[in-house]
Amino acid sequence: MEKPDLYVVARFLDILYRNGSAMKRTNIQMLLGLNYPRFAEYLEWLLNHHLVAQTTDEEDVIKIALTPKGTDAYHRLVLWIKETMEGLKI
Amino acid sequence: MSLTPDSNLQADILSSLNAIIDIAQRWSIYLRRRQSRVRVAKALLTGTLVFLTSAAIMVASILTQYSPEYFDQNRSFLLTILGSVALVGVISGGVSYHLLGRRQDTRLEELSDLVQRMNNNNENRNTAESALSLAEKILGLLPELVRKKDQDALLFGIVAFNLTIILARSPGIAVVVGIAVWLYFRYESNTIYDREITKLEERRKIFEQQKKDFIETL
Repeated sequence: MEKPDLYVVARFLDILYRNGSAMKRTNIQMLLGLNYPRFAEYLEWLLNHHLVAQTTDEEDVIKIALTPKGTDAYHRLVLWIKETMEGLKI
Repeated sequence: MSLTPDSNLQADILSSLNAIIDIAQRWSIYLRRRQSRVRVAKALLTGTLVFLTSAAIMVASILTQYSPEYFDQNRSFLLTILGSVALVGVISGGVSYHLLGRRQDTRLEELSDLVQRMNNNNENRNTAESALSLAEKILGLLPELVRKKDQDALLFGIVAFNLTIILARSPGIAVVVGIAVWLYFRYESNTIYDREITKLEERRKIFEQQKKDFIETL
């Protein structure tokens, strides 16, 4: 994927950050409201950028969690939006 | 892999999201007030324009048929006519205010709803995605609220026409002066409007670019 939509990336990070623990892929996909191919593209992009990581639990279920880089990206995103809002003038 | 970000970071994220909601709430109130003021200003201008245009037509038609002494000889009749014209102006202003109120801006409603939902933390809406959407909605709404002052220019033109017809007592000169004043203020208000819109559009483009840049930094 060349140009991911910042809204989808933000939603992805939102879901994982709010959940606080690793989540099943299907649960994330449902909360994101994306079809599977699109979800897979975004997941791959986030994995490639080390924003999320894939783990396998004791029941062999693949789960996705936010990495420290992902948490930092979420933090930066929120700060950037805040700064943008503070700088709005008419 | 850290699943539980440190508490300072969590507190900072939460306080930033709350700050975003506060800013958006202030913007929502400001935009609503501004919309309401624009509505009142437009209604007042419409009423004044109707009154002054009718008065100007009346004065011009009297001057083309009678001598200027007609105004002194028929003062009470003219005052009655002027009163009726003023009443028509007031009614036009009221109708204009009512009609402008019916045209609700759905984007402003959406912004208020989103702020409300984020404030109540409904459906976990207090998120970065919602915050991003708030910023985008506000940036999209700002150009809509820059008032195009076409009516103001027309009002100045009519005032100039009225003053000239009273002072010069010549409809021809009054028409020329009125049109000149109207065109000048129209040009000025259009220039100011274009400048403001360009500035806000530029701000929106910068925001779009910043979104792309942010993705690049990830």
